[in-house]
Amino acid sequence: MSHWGWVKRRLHRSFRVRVGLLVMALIVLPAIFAELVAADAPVFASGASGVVVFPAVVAPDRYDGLDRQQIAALHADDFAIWPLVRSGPLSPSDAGRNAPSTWDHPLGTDHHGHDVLARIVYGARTAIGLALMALLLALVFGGTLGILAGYLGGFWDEVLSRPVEFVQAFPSIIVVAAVRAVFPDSSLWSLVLAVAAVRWAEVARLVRAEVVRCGASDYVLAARALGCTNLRILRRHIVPSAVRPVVVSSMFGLGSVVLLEVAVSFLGFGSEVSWGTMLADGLKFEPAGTAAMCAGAMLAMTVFAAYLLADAVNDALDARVATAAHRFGH
Amino acid sequence: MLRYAFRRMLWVFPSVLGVSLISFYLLSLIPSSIAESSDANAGSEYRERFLDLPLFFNVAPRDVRTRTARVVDDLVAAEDGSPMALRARRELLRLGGAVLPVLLPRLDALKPEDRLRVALALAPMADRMGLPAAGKTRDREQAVLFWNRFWETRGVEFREASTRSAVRRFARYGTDARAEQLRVLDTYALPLLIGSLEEPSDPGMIAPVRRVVGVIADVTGRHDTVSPRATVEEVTDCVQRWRRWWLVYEADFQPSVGADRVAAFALQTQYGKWVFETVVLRMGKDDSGVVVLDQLLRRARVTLTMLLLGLALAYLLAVPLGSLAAAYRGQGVDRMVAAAVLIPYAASPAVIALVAVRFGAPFDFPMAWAVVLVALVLLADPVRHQRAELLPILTEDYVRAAIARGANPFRVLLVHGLRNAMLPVATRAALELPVAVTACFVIEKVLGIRGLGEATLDAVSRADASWLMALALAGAVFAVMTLVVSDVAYALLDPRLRSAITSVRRRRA
Repeated sequence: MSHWGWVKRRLHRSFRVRVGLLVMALIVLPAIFAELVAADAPVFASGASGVVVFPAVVAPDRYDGLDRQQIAALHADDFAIWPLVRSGPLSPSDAGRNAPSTWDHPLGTDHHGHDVLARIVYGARTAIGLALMALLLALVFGGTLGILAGYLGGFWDEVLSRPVEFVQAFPSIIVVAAVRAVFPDSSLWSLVLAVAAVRWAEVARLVRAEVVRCGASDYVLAARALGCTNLRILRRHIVPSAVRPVVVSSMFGLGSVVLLEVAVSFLGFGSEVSWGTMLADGLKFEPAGTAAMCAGAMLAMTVFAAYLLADAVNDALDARVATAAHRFGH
Repeated sequence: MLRYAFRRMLWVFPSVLGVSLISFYLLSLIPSSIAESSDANAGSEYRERFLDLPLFFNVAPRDVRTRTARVVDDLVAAEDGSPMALRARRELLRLGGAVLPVLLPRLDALKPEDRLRVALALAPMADRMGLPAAGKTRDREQAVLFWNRFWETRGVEFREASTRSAVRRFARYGTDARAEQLRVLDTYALPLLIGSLEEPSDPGMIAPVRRVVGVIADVTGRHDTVSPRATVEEVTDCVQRWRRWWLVYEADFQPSVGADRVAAFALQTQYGKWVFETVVLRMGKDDSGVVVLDQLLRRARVTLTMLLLGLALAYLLAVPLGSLAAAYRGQGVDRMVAAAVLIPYAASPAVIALVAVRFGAPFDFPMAWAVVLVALVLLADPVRHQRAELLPILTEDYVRAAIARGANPFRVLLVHGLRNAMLPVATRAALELPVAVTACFVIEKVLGIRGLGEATLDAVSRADASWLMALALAGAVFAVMTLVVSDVAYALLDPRLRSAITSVRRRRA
């Protein structure tokens, strides 16, 4: 059985993987299909005005500034499929502030009269989307620099490694604060870039260490003796062994980036639609309503699931720990 | 070891330089609310914020010579009485006596009518200088002749050495003759006058400052003087205001020649001025007029106390908890520890604080609570690493041998396990600090503690570049310190590494 076969078997058997995947799916799927769960616009409408599919995605500005009655009137004669909750994360609802849970608003409304479920779902999209985007950017950037540093060695290694060390010790919140002071727009790109600017260092460090370790190994020497090109050695020998630390660190990173996003929004310079702003509202208006509690629970669940998954994958990939179980004492 | 730490500490310089360059560029992108004014010569906020200067490189720095040439061109080109001519005359008066060494020797090179125009424009300056025959300067027949003769007879006074002694004697004795001499020199004496300003340390030193400031205020027309009953603090403030003013306008009154001209390439820029302001004027003042460095230090004390105490508490708890979890790997205790540690980490301090507020926690001692919250949030990582480091060690043969010989499991854990596992865990504390700073900011907001976080929130909402710049620099210093401390700790804890470090030093020496 190959190494990956063992890994797969361990993952299949792991209780942590199952729980983590389940929780992740519960959070990520609604976030991806948020327009099906909660939106002002119908999912599908067909009638006198023609056929519209996903107007909230295709033409989001069409429903700007309309309240619920007007939107309903727009599609009064149509055959329309509506999302589960008929209000978006920032649209005012007619239920008023702090409304209890009803069929229209399954989790009630918050202090601004926004639907809590909608805010939760779109907040998940913000958190997870930002985290994935930032991690991906960091992976590309940090991976490239790590390979370069490890491959070139010597002077260039030193030049590239010092910033890595430094960035890792630099408080990330300062980077985010500075970037958000410059680009206070509601678009999240500046936030993504700021987070990626902090995260790349970790990836670069791990990749570099792996490149250096592999480069000194006998099998790379053998491959070189057989006439492999550098690119082939990189692809066949170095990248596969760098996968484990990078994947594990990125999965742990998912949790910490989500936490960072929520913290930044909580402090008031993040996104408007975020669990962090819900928590901040909960702090501002006493007593903290269900909105803040829900956001807190979602946040905890996300981080917890990411942690479980990362931990399980780490153990599964590490043959040393996995086979050496229960040797101590008992 | 000390030498090693010191060498690592030198990294502070490139790091701070890099951070300041990057963040300065970034923060210069903040859209400025100050419109570019057409009259960017004096008094405008545009000028006071150095927005007329390029960001990093000044290819064509302006000094008194270029400004004089510009004014003369304007005077020559403008019709009499036009707004442009008025503006040029005002500018000439503002530049004052400093233009005379540049302008008067070349007066003859101009065409006769231009020469006359420039000479007449100098008339108000003659009044300010208190020249005996100032009336002649208004006379179309005599003005040019007057200024030519003035330069022939008194041009020798416009020398640095004589000015220097005049300024020194005036500051010390305040005689009328010296005052008269300085009055004639006008703005030519400004560099030395400003240079002679000292922040007074006792009331006896106020008098010379007062005299000098009086002359400077007369010459520049900027009414910021020291009153006879001013206290030492007021005088100090006044001196600092003048120094800041000089930072903005120094290039208007002195020629940049030789090395100065090369230096101006980097110094007559927004970045150069900012560096100067940071070093000399304690990082300048923010929008509300508070000295940034003082505020930074005051608030950093609060946040760092929270941070370091929280970190210490977290590690104090993490080592036993992690060891416990490793010893009982896969059993109930392990899971309980994991859950107990993970829940506060995953919930983020905001949620914990919200829950605590909801259940009416007594927040009478916000600092104590803050430390506990920081520790709770930070606990997860060290516990996980303690456990992960200990696990492979506990499967080592020497541990099995110790157990086989009948050693107490507790002793085995402590002596064979912890000693080897401590090292990587302890040195990871450096990597925890950035996360901890975020947590501190959140906790500050929840508990209403007036630390760095609160000020930063304000700064972000006001887009206050000076505070963010200061914070970025503080962050850079903090980061390098963290690295040095963690490196030194590593070397102190691990004898193998100590010899490696010493050998590196020998090789390089």
